[in-house]
Amino acid sequence: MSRRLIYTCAPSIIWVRDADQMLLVDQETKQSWSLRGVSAVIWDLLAVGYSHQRIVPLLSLIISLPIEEVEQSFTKVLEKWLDEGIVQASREAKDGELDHQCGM
Amino acid sequence: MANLTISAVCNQHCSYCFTRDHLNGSRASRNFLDVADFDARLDFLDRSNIDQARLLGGEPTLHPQFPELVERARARSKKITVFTNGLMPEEALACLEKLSPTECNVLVNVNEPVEAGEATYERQLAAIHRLGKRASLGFNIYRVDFQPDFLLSLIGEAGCRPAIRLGLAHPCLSGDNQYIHPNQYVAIGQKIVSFARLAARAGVIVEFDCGFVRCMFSDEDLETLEAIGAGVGWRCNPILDVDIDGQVIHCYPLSGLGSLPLTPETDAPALRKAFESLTRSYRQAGVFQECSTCPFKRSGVCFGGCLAATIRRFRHTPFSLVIPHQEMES
Repeated sequence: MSRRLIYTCAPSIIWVRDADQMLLVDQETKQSWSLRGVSAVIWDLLAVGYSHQRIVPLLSLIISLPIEEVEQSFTKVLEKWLDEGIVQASREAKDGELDHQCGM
Repeated sequence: MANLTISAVCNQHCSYCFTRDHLNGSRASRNFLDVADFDARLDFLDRSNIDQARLLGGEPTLHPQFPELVERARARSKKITVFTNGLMPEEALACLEKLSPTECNVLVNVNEPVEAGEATYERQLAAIHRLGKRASLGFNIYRVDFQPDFLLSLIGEAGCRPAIRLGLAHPCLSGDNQYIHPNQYVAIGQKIVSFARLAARAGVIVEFDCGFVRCMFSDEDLETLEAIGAGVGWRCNPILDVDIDGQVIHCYPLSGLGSLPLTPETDAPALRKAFESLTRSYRQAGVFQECSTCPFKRSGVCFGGCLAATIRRFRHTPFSLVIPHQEMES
């Protein structure tokens, strides 16, 4: 069975772009994350609404790695953010509705 | 330091006012603080070893029992500080006139006469004149083209303390008030230095409220300010404003960040620590992108400006990323 996985920004997460980092703060827990390097680039691309299909080749260009490796790294970053509560994940049901929030 | 809000009512509607959001919001359940609750506030000051009763509003002097509140604070040996617009009832003015300048400091916040209107300005002038050395002037900068020179004539005419406390109009978290955008800080800084020089020639010292940043001024300008004794600093700390309902906030611009209840046990150091903890994450940033790499910010010399202005840089982005064709195991 093939269903699309959808990552969304957790509702309590706010962020700001600084000179050397993306600073994320959870408004509820007051926890913060400083994203730098590739993580910061990924966040930037997500924030401007880029799709998975656009982000992966772009990252491949930026960090000079093959698409397959970038796919893996990208997935790892998203999974880490999911664990940390920065993003939430849902699977899309067959009819296109989101059926539930899920961990990975 | 902690400020006690005793009135949710004001007789002015300054466009830059950062208390309006909070005082007009649902939290303010009544207009004036009860005398019994004021005594509880004084208990809080006592157990926090604070020897000043700093009375705030709205316009604090509109409290119908203002003289009684002042008397109660004086009975606890508190020095009285009043943050007022100077448009105060006769009873309040008469009560403050009875105190010596060492017992009270009345910080009269004035706007440019052209903004305030002639009648308002005349009333303020009369009140400041009667308060004499008990009064000092406060001026909020909320436009780049501010014209503060009138303050020097006002001090000359009214005979108040020869000092002017300059404040930058900071945003409420909602951004509904008029405020100075950080991009305008450098231009403001240059005007402040020119004014401070002029003020020094007139024997008037310029003091600074919170939220100024180091990079508003060149090194040369800072030397000038230091040479003329202008006490400039770059701080943004929890002020601790206690509202009428007994909730303590970091400061009015940050009232949207949350509040802590004033219980019979809490003291100012504990509250300050709690607010420092609540705001620590946001304080990694500053009002500018460059604050995160600034050596003055890193070393703690500069706090990176007003935290409310910093938090207004943050945003939530409800992005949605679809990962296609994920195989499910079950």
